[in-house]
Amino acid sequence: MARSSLALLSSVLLAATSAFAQAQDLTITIYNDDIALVRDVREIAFETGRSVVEFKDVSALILPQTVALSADDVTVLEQNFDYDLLSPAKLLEKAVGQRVRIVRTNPGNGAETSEIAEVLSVNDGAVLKIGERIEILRDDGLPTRVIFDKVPPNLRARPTLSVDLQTKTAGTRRAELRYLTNGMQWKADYVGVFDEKNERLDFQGWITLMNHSGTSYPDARAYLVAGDLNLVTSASSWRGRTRSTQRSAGTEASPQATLADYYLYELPQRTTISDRQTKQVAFIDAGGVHASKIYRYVANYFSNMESPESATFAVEFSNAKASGMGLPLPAGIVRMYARDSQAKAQFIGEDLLEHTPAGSHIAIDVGEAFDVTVQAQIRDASQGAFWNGGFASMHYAFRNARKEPVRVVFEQHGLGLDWEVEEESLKGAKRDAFTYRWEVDVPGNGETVLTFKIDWD
Amino acid sequence: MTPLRALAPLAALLPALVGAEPASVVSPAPEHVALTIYGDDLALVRETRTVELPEGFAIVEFRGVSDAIVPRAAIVEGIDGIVERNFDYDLLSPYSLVSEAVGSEVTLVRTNPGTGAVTHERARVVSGGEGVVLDFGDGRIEALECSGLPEGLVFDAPPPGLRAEPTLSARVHSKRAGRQELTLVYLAHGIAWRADYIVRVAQDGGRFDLEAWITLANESATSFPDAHVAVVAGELNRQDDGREIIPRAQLEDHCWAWGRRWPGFWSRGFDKSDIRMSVSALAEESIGGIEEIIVTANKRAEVTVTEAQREALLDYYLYRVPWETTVAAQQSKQVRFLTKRGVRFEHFYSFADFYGQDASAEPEPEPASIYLRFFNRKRDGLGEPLPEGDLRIMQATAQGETLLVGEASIDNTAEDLPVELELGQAVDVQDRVTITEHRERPRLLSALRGEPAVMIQARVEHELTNAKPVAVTVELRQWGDRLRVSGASHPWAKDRGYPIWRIEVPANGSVIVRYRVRMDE
Repeated sequence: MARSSLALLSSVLLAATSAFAQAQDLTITIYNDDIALVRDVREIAFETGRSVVEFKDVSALILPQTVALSADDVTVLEQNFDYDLLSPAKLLEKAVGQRVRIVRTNPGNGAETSEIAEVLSVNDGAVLKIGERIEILRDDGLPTRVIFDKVPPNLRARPTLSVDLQTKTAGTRRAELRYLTNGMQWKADYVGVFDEKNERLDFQGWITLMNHSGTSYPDARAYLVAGDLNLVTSASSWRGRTRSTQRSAGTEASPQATLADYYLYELPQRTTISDRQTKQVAFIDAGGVHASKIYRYVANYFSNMESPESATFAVEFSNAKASGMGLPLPAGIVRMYARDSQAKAQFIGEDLLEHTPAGSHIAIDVGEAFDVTVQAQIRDASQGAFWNGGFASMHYAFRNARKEPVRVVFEQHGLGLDWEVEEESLKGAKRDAFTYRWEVDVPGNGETVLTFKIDWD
Repeated sequence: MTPLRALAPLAALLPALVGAEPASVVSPAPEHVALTIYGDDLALVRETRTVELPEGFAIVEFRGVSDAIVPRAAIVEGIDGIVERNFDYDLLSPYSLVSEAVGSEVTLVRTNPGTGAVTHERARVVSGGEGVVLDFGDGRIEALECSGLPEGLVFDAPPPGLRAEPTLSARVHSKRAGRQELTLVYLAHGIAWRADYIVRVAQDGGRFDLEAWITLANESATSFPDAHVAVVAGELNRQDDGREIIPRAQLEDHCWAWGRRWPGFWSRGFDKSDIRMSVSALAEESIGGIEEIIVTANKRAEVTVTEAQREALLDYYLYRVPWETTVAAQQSKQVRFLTKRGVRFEHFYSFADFYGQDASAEPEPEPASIYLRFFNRKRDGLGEPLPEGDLRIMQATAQGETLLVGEASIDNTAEDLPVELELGQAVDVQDRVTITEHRERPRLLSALRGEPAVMIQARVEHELTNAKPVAVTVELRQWGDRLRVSGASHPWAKDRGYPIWRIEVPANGSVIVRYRVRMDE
C-alpha cells in the first residue's frame, strides 16, 4: 500500500551526520517556484573589534536583501554582495588614467619592444598615450601585450557576500547564515501504470529537484515545501488556470507533515545537490489503486464539423485513503503507461496535476481515442435574433470503431442567457448555467446519434 | 509486485550508513534496446543492461543513453533499493575547465610569431569564466588572448566531477553483491514517425491499391542497434517537451575591445538548439526510391511476416516491426504496415462557395477541385485504422508510366469513416459565380442587443462548365453555419450540415444553378 517514505526516515538518518556538520552544515528548503531558503551553519573564528567575513561559496543567484547572519555576541554592521566580476575588459576599464606597460612583438623578427603607456579611455576600444603619441590599442594588428601591475580592488572572480561585523569576544564559534536564492526548484513527477482490464492503477511519485544556482551544496539536509507561495520576487506571479485535473477537491487529513498551510517533505538522508544537477527521490508508491477510463467530448459552440473529431479519454482515480493512497499530491506531471501485448509498459500520455489534497477525485487526461469520434451537424438554427429568441437544432453522431461498447460523457457549452433543451433524443441533465451534459452509450462497431434542440431567449 | 513498481526505494532497506563513499559502477551501454516511437518527436526507449553491483551503496552510471533523453521521466526497473536518481549536466568543457581553475596555477604557453620561440610560464588564474586574468606572481597581471600572440593555457589535471556528457545515474543500495539485470526506461526526443501512403489508382478508375509505410527518422545523435521497434498511432496529451533547460555556458570573447573592433563582432559558438523533424521532407526524397526500399527490406529479411503488425494499446494502435532493426543516428527508415488491393473509391469535382467572401468581385470562371472519396470500410476493400499522414496518389498513363497526380493528408482515421482527399485543380471543369441580387436589411432591435444588425438576402447563380468529352459529377457546396437556402433551381441536400448540390454536367456542356440565400452579416 502507499507510503510516504521520506518523512518516516528522517529521524533515523540525521544522527549519523555530525562528522560533516563541523565544517559546514547546510539545510536547504526548496519551494516550487524557483526559490530556496539556505541555512548555512559553520564555525567562524571571530576577532575582537570590527572585521569582515567573506563567504565565497554562497549561491551565485542569492537574493542579497534576504541575507541574515547570526552568532553569539556578534553585531552585524553592514552586508555587502559584490558582483563586480573581474574580467579582462574590467581590468582595462579600471586602468583608465593609469599607466600600464605594453609589449609589442614584431612578427617578422620576434623582437619585443616595451613601452609605458597611459590609458586615456576605454570605449569600444582603448586609446593610449605613449610618450607624446596617441594610439589605439592594437590598431596596427601587431601582437601587443598589456601588463598591469595589480588587480584593482573590489573586482572578484565570483560574486562574494561579505559581512562587516563587530564583536567583543574573540574565538571560534557557531554562526548561522541564512538567505534566499533563485536557481533551485522542485516538482513532483508521477508514473502511473494503468491496467484497463482490472481497473487498477499503480502510482508512484518522485520528487525532482533542480539546481542551476551556480553552486553545489555538499551533504545538505533538504526540505521541500509543496504549495504556491505568494512571491514578490517570482517572475511568474500570474497563475492562469485553464483546466483542472481535480474533479473534486478532497477533504482528508494526511499524515504528511505540514508547514503553515503547505505540505513539507524531507529527503530521507543528507545528499549532495550539485550544480547543474537534477535529482529525483521516490516519495509515493501506491499499488492497485482503483481507476477507470472515461471518454469525454466537449462542444464549445454550435457548428458543423467537416470531419469527425476524436473524443478524449482520461483515467480517473481518487487519492483517498479508501482507494489505497491517502496522501496529498504535490503539483507535477503525471506520465501514464499501459502494458502492451507483451506486458511491456508503453507511454500513453501525460497531464499536469496541480497541488491536490488527499481524498480528491482526479482525472488525468491521457489523449485522444483513435476509434471514438464525434461529428456535429446543425440541422437548423435561427438566423440571428428574433423577437422571441433563437434556437439551434443539433445532430451529434458518436461513432465507435472498437469492438466493445463505450460511454462518452458529452457536454454542450456555449449556452448563455435563458435556455432550455427540448426534443432531446437521449436524456441529459443541466450541469451548470452554461453546460448541458449527456452520457452517450455507443455500441461496439456502432453509432449513436444524439439530437436535441436548444431554445433561448 | 509489478516490475515498474519495484523501483521505489524501500524505506526499510536504507541503513543509516551515511558518509561511506559509494562504489561507482559504470554501465557502458545497453545490451538490448526496444524503441517505441510516437508521432510527435518522442520515443520511449527501453534498455536492458547488466551491472555488477557491490554490497551496500553504489552509484550506477548509465552511459550511452540518448543525448535527447528526458531525464525526469526515467524509470529503472529491476533494482529495489534505489535511493535517488541524478542527472548531471555539469560538463567538462573549455568553460568549466577555466572556471574551475580559478585560484589555482596553470601554465601559460606563448609562441613568438617572429622567432617561433616557445615560452612557458606559471601563473595563477585570478578570474575565469568571464575571461581569463592571470597573475604571474612578480607584479605582472595580464589577460589571456588579448595580446594577439599565439597563447594558451595548459592545465595540470582535469577538475574532478566534470563529465563528458550529461549523465543519468542512480544511487542504489544492494543487500548483496552480484550481477543484476535491470531495465532502464526513458522518454527521448529527436525521433519521430509518420505514415506515408502510396495510392495507386487503376487505369480504368474506380479502384485503387493502397500501400502504407511507417517513415521513422532519428535526428538524435544516438544510434539504437538491433532494436525492437514499434510505433504508436494516436494523439497523446503532452504537457511539456520535457527538455531540461540546460544553459550551456560557453567561453566567450570577454577580452577588451582592440583596434577598431569590439567583441560583439565575433561570432558565437554553435548552438545546438531545437531538433526539428522533417519526416515529410524525408518522405519526399524517398518517393523515387520506394521500390529500392522494398528491395532492401526483402534482402535483409528472411522472415515470414514482412509488414509491421498492429495491436491495440488502450485507445491507440501500436505497430510492431517484426524483426530487429538498427535505428542509426541521422537516419530515416521505412517499413510497410499495410497493403490493400482494389479499394473502391469515387472521383468527383467540387466547388466550395462561401457567400460574401468576394461578393463584389468580377464574376470569373474558377477551376473545380478534384476530389477522391472513399469509405474506410471492409465492404469497400479497406476498413483499417489509418494513422495520420500524407498520401501520394499515383496513376499509370496509357504508356504504362506511373505519375504523381496529387498529394493529400489525412488525420487519424478510424474504421467506418469516410475520407475525402483534395488532389488539385481541374482544368476542364469550371464554375462562374454571379451574385445577381444582394440586399441588406437593417435590424434595429438586434443592433440594440449587440447582435448582427444586418440580414443579407441574395440571389446566387453558378454556371458550371465541362470541357471534357464525358459527363462529370460536380458537388456544389455553400459553407456557412447559419445560412438558409431557398428557391433553388436544382434539388439540394444537407451534407455535414451544409447545403450541397450534386450536379451532373454533360460532356462539353454546362448547367446553371440558381438559388437564394439568407444570412446574418
